[in-house]
Amino acid sequence: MKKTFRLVALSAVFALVAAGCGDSTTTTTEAAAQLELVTAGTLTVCTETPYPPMEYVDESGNYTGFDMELMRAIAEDLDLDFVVVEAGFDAITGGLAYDQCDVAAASITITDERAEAVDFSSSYFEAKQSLLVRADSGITSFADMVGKVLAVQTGTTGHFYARDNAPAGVQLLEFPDADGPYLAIEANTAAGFMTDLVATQGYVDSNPGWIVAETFETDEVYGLGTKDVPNLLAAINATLAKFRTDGTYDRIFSDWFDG
Amino acid sequence: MSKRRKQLIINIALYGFAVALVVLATIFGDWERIAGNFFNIDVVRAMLPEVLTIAARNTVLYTIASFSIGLVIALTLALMRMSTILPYRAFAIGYIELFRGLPALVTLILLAFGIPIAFSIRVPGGQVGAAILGLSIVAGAYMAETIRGGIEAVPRGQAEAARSLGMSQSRTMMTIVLPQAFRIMIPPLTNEMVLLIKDTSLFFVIGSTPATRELLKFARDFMSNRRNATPLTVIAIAYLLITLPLTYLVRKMEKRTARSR
Repeated sequence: MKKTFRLVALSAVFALVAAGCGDSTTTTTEAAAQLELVTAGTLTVCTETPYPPMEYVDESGNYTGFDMELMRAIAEDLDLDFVVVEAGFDAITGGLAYDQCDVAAASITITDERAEAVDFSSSYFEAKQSLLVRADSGITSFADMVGKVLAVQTGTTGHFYARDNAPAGVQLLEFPDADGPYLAIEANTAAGFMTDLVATQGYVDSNPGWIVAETFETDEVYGLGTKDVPNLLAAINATLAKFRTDGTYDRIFSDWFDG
Repeated sequence: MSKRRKQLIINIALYGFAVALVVLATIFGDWERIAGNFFNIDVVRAMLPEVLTIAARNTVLYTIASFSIGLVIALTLALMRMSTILPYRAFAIGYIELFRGLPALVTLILLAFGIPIAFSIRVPGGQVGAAILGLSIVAGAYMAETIRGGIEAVPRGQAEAARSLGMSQSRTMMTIVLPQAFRIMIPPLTNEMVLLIKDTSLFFVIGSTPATRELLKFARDFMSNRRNATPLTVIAIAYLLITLPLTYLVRKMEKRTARSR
């Protein structure tokens, strides 16, 4: 509703501008208006950090990671500026975040439940679940977690996988972000963390003393989230398809996962 | 006459401004959208009765526990703060300044994760225990100054009279000064309790289970399940149901104290 109003207002402004400047500006402004952007000329992207190596803020304060670089490339391809806005993961998957951004890139696994609230792009990443533990914990499988505390991030697919598949006697401890579980394991409050393999693999590679005890095939894929912006979604899907064939996707992928 | 007239015009302008705000909100608010997002009766039904039996109950329990432990800490600190022995005084000042200066969330995280990592000591009661202790420590710092103010507000003659009747220093404090001081302190202490009620909404950051959820975490879970903001309205009402009687009580007591002087 609000978005419609904004669109009408926008088109009114564009109509005035067009009337003033003659026909030459009409085509570009119309194209921009059709993308239903929160801020004209800018692709505003919602994410939730930190979730390295997918999305995090680097030491000079810039958003980076696989998701962020992919979005940067998409914005460039659509001839738009690129701006990142932080939103809670719950708001991103629940559809409440899309008043402040055009698209969400936050390692969002596509699920039927989420698809009711969010219009997903075509999938752009294949994910697995994993159980992260300290190497000296002696835990080598999910079954070893019986009688111990398993940390999860609320509302993530790791949370749901653990909830539905944990052996009896595993106690779940929920955190609102992805930082809490690491601290909780360091503090011996929890013994393991169930989350996506991309995140734990990156962590294990740079932190000796931690291992991925077990990985789980779940047929999960990531999608970009949007809400009620069919033209923008179509444009993003077209760009994603183009990236898959012209090598852009492979280049970004190898920047983050092959080296 | 002209002064009254001026006052009248100002009053009319103020009323007009208030009415204009309400009218603007009514015209420009998207009421259908507001009703669906914030006053969805199905969501309210789904939240009952657990919002009261688990969430509100936990919020109240956490507040009472933090307040009680905080009060003991505060009383100890206030006495140390007024002590003639320098190290006691220094410790009290350092403690109060440190924990009044830190955000409560930082203290909670330090207690829940920092201490166990550094010393392998665990607070009994798991994450809830750590959170309650953290909030007690913060509340203790705030209430220590309130208590000191209350004690210092008791006329010096009271203590001097008690001492001249042969009462010991500690007996004078316990039976003469503190009872009078507490009457002065009750309104600000109740205010501190109202602040604590709201600070329990930080607990979920250091980890929660379905049974340990307080009002905010409970609402967040419903918000992500239902894709709807109604849970916020529900817990806003729940918070007010807890805090309004307390603030009402404070106003009453302040009036009574003012009268009795």
